[in-house]
Amino acid sequence: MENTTIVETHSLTKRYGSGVLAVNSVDMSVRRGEVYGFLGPNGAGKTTTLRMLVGLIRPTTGTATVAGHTPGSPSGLARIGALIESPGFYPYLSGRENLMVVADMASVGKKRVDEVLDMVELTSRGGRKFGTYSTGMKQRLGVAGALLKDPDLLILDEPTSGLDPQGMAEMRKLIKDIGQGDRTVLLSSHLLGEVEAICDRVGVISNGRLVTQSTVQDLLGEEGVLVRAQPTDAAQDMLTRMFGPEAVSRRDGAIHLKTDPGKSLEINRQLTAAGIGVSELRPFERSLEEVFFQLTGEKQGS
Amino acid sequence: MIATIRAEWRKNRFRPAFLVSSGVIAGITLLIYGVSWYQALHPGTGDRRGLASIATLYPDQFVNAVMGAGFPLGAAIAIVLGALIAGSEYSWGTMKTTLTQGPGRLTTWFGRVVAFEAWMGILTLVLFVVGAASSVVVASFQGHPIAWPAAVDIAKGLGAMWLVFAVNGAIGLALGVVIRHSAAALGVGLIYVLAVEVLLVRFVDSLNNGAYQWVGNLFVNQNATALTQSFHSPAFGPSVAPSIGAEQAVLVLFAYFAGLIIIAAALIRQRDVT
Repeated sequence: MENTTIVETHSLTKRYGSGVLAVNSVDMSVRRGEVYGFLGPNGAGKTTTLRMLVGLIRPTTGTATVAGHTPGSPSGLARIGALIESPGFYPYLSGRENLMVVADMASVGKKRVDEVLDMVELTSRGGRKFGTYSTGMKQRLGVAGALLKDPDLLILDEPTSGLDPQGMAEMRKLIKDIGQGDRTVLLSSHLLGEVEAICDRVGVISNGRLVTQSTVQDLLGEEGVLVRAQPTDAAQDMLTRMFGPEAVSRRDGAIHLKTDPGKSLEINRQLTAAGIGVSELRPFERSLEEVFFQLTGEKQGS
Repeated sequence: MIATIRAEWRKNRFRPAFLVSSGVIAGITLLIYGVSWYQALHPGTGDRRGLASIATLYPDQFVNAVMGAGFPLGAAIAIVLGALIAGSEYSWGTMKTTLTQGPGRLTTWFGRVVAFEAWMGILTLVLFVVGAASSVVVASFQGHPIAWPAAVDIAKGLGAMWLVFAVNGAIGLALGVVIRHSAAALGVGLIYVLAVEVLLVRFVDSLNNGAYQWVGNLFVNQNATALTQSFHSPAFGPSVAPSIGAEQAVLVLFAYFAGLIIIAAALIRQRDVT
């Protein structure tokens, strides 16, 4: 049976010499072919975890298997493309020459250099020195460098960092395109909308701990119906009788019902028939932002 | 390893630091020949009398003559280049790019060292070619017959100068790896070679009427000095016999070279790339 997991970590931990516990016992699992969002606030341990996955940092304890190999092993790295933090290239060389250097290192043919330049739409600017590139062009060249090996697993660490809104939109489209087919993309980000828009599954890391890992759908929870009605207590009693206590909760003066939004008409009819005034009745879905702040314990808008 | 050397060569061949340093080496050699030629033709009198003899500028003496151009100035350039090559990999973030491509850490490091030392060979060749060409120009203008040193002497000179450049380059490389910053590494390297080692050797020599001179003889550029001074001829005038033999100097310099490269390799293998 083919192994469906491409990244697997067990109790992965990194404590720096200064005593800082950057990553704390992370159990992470990324499946083949998915776009996995690694979500967390700045300083949560995302980059340290990714560095451990590509062998740049050795874990203090715990293990990891990436593309079937120990992190940093030549055979494993041959199947991984990575852009960790900012793209690292030689400023005095052109974009194309930089990719040629990387291609030499990775034993990849020159033809592939032109292919990846084309993929990131840098063909016409490939002859310009890397030092003269804009932030967006640098990021795209970084993605091109990561794609050179036509990797099974692409690890992108905050690829939209420093980009303007248009650059971010272009980069997201590029990542979506790259993530089509069998390739796995492991994308770290602190931008919730980005992860929600691109990723199939999400791992949320906070203070070095992986607090949850699931599909975006599961993370957002079941869909339901939000009801605002007067008198609220009477409305809640009635809805509890209709759907059971476990389906009804009250938040910020509104009643949250875990039920099919298709039942809205029936709910409205029953409440109105009981003399309860309904001021708002709509389907609701938790945003990833709400879930994130709930999971990480951070204050929204702070 | 071949792939890594190819990559390192590709990235270094257009590196401004290498191109500039090749030009600097050539310029220094031309300057030394030009100034020495002028001094030889206009010796002055009394205290202002120049030391240069025109005989040292002819082709048969060019190997001996270029040693003075190559050390210590060329050695200082080698330190700067080594520090830049190793240190900038950290400041540009290219270390993480290269180490995630597939070749192991040690393969990457030794590929880098091979490509760098090949450049040291090119710098040595530049020094010798410009020196030889300058000597031909001087001889032609002076109407002196052109005769070259024996091939074996030229080869020995090339080897010795390369070793001096290589070991000083290795100091720069190792400092770049240790400090992980090019500017700081080259600063420390130059201060060590131009000041700290000189002071330490003088201090050791002064202890107990020179009883510990053998310790001073183990310092890296004491041996580089001895090796370059071993290329000497009567045309250059009287000289004090160096306290370190050429063979010993070669062995000590090779030991330094190997030691520095291995220490840096161990650090690259063990340390996290953050």
